[in-house]
Amino acid sequence: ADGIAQLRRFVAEIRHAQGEFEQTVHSTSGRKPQQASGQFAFSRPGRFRWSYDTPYQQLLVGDGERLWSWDRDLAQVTVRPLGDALGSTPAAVLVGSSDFESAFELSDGGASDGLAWVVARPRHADSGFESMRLGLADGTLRRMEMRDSFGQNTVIVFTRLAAVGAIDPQLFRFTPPPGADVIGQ
Amino acid sequence: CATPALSPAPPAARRTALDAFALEGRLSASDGERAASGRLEWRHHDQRDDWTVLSPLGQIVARLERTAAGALLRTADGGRYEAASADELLPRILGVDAPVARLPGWVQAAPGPDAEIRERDAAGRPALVIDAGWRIEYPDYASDEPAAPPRRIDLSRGDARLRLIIDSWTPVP
Repeated sequence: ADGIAQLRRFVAEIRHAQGEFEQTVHSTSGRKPQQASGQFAFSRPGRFRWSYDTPYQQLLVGDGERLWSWDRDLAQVTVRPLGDALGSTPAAVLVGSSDFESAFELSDGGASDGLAWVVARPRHADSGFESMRLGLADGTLRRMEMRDSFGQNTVIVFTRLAAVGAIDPQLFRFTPPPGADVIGQ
Repeated sequence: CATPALSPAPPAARRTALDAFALEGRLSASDGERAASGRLEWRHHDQRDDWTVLSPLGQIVARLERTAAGALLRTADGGRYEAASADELLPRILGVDAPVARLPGWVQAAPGPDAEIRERDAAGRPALVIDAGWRIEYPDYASDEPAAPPRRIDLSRGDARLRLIIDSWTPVP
């Protein structure tokens, strides 16, 4: 399967994109899988918007330098340098800059479910997840599976991913809503 | 001018603390240096506690287990830390140095005997509690029932602050 070739093309050619995703988390504790869904947008390098509509409203924004995470019910914003946070979100794959492969070691993951798969192992030990499988078709990322060192398996299906010419940079700026606490660096 | 007639304090709602439960929620915490945020899963009974903090992606950031034998903290990057008591490790997972023994009572708004309940809400439930130097506010409960569990809890002491939204609450038989 040519998963790696498709992934390289995806990282090199898809500079800006937006769409929707569905997330399912399978935990080792045998609890019923937990569903979440929302929208995303990204502009390489380093800028992305990842917002959950269900089960509750949460927003993750990478503005190129920092990762803002906001939870409406908590009415609090946490901000961290993007560098060390990038590894722990799928954003690393979506918006990693050109040296994507300096962050991940790629190996062929064969073909199944109509997708060509790539296994990506983070080169930095403390990236917070053990391995990731990326499923592509027609040069576009369709599915992403992340397994952490506890055996939790997160599956993200990109139900829509549309490349676009450009995205309004405002989408990747985050201004804390009035009354929200801001926590962190 | 006439001083406003003080409305009679609402009758104290009778609240009993469960000694076993499973709680799922979201937390955001800081002690002025460290900041922690994410989903929290906590299984509690007197012999054992399991705290798990997860990222929005459902990946486990850290897990702390307490048994009679001691406490073990494991982190996503493979770190393992052991201690005689969970109190020594809890700040690494919750972001603040809250007293482990009092947390079960605090999250159920059923604080211990030496806590001071300063304010109560219209249903007679604790709205502001002072306990062990901590300020615990209950701005929101899951329903209007006097015995309802809290929906949102704000803990603070000095620079340390923790806010917890409880999404689901399951008494464990």
